[in-house]
Amino acid sequence: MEVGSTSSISGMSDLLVVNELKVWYPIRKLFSIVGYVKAVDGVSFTVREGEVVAIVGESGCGKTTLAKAVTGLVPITSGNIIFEGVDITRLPGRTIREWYSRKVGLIQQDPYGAMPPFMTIRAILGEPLKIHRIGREAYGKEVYTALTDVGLTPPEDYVNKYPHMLSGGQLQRVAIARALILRPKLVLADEPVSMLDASLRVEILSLINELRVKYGLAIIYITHDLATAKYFSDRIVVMYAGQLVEIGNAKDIIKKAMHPYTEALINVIPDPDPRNRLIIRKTLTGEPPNLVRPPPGCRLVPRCPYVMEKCRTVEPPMIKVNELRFVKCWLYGS
Amino acid sequence: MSSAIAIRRTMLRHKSLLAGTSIITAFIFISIYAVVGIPYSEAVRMWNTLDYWEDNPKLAFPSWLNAFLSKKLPETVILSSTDGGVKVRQLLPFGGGVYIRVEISFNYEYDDFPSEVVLRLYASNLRTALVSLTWIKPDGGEFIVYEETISSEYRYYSISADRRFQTQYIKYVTEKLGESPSYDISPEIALFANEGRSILSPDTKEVLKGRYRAVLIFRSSNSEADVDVKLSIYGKVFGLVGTDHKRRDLWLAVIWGTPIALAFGVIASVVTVFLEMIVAALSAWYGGLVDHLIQRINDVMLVLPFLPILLMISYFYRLTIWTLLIVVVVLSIFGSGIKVYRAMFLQIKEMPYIEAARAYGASNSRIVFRYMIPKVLPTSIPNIVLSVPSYVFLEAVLALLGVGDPAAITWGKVLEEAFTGGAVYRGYYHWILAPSLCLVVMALGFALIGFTLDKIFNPKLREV
Repeated sequence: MEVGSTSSISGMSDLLVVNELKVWYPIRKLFSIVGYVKAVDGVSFTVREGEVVAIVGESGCGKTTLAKAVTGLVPITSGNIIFEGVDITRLPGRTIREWYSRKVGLIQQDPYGAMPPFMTIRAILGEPLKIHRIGREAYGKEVYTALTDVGLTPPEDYVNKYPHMLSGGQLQRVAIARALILRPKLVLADEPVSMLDASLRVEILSLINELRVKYGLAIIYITHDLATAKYFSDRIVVMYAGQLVEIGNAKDIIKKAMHPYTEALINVIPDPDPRNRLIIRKTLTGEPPNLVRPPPGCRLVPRCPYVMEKCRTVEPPMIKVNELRFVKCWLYGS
Repeated sequence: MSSAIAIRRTMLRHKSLLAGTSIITAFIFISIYAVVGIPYSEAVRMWNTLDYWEDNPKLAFPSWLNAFLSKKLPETVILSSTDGGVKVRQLLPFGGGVYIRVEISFNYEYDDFPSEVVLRLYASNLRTALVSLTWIKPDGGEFIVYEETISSEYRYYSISADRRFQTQYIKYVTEKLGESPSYDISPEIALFANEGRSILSPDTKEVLKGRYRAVLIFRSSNSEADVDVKLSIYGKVFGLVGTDHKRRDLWLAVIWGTPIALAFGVIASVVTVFLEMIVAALSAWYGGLVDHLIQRINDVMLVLPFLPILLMISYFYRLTIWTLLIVVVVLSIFGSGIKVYRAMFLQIKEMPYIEAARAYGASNSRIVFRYMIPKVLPTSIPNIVLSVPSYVFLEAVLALLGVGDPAAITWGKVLEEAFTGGAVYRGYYHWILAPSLCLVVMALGFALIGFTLDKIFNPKLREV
């Protein structure tokens, strides 16, 4: 499947290729496995060097599992994750720890929970350096640089503090510093601003973007908020019920959503214009499908306003609209 | 500097912490005093050598008891031919041997009779010798207590145990007063009582105060012979905490029991809690087969009774106090503690910061030791402190059951001897109270600290 592989067009090389990735969580009863939660069910996309890809979808659609799979934190059922030409699903755990974990950074959603409460900021930032045996003499300097990079200046004021002494925004900056301290190529930002105060969100996203430019990072930005995805990312990948439903350039997707689900997501972006306040917007009814036993056809069938007979029985393929645009919907092909 | 101030402030806020810390600090000072003052091997040797204690009274009460009594109990008086005595040595004419007269005189001003009177003779160069002891009371009454031919260099003669003298004396009193006494006059009473009618009843007998004289006559055919005398009039009070049935000063047991109890309790509780935490963390972190294995072993160990196994081990192997410590630790690791910590670790395992650590490449052992254990450490510190006294008590209980180091000087060992010596029913309360009070006060100290720390570390408990 050639989905999303657009390296020939941009001229940039693919940093990460995710191919037909499946992450199924087994449901155990007594001694046997009675079924699987298909949290990620056949996902393919690519991330090029220096690119920001937003993965957008509602709660429970598998975004976080996808992020964990890409970071190497959950066992993969099938498929490949190819990073710099190396299939990490075939690597032994030790190599993942020693090589891959240096190349990929993770920024989590909850800045309070993401910090070991018993360590000082210096120790927290020093941990990745210690684990990857980055020289003692460089250690202090790296920590200070990292703190300066994320705008916690002067760093001396922060290094001896404990996480509970900092605010959520400051902690998220520390988390970003920690994700970047090993100079990774790819950063997974798993809803990095959704737990922060609204006033801080743009600030933190701008900071991530600034650092992306400075260090030439590729970023996978996971969010349920299309508005920030539009502001922040080059490309958007829309995820629904464990599958990707639409891939395209951020601008194109926001301008004209093709998939009914994307359309619904765009419809719920808050509109700042007070004249539109009385307009009742179209929202999807119903619930996302059960991921243990997903419906045979398109997974959006119960909620889709354009549902056709074909949708109920045959699962739509990823349909290529143009070189950059893919959509998984029968409306755009036979 | 700021942490010192913080500690002081916490101390002042929580008076119980201050009290507990003072108690434990006092015990620590006693331990240092014991360890520095008397090396352990020396202390053990002293404790188990009976000769060392021969100048102490048996089962004496603490001296300070006299401050609360109207009738003063006697202290011990040790007299000898060189100290408090006058020795005259005469050679008999025509090579007839030697005549030695030792006169010992002393004042006896106590209100009660001594507990025991013992005469020790240290002779030299004798083939045989005739020895006699004459006792002269302050009122001039005098009688021969003892007469014997000796042939050994060392002669231990307990007047208190001399039945012959006792019967003779009772006969003598009966003749003198024309009435026989209503009880068996013991030799100590015979030696020190006023020989009026008051001696006839145990309720009216009284001490004759004044200057006593004991005269020892020694005659040997060998003119080279010589003799030294030690007359021990054992009192009824001794030292700060009294003595036991082997004349040993219980003070030694109290001060050397302290470092042993502290070391045993602290090591056992710290090591046990840490090992429990490590095993629980490994169980929770690795999950699966490892978890199953550890939990099943734990379940089995939970069911097995602790004390019978320990007793059985003690019957098969000779345990010293430190091997006992190891056995106790090994048997206590597996237990409900592992279940509790495992539950905590299962929760911690899912925390985002662990996920972050895995994402930046932390190894399994690093996650267990650097990320999981430090998280529960603060909540377990009160537990560590609170379980110290239970191990100290455990040691005492085991000593009472006869398990443990027979040579070690522990509070439990003293209690065991007091118990077998029938201390309570014979009224020697100090023998039981000295070690028990130490145990209770130490437990109190740790409990005060532990409960306060619990309040500080787990503030949710504060309101309950």
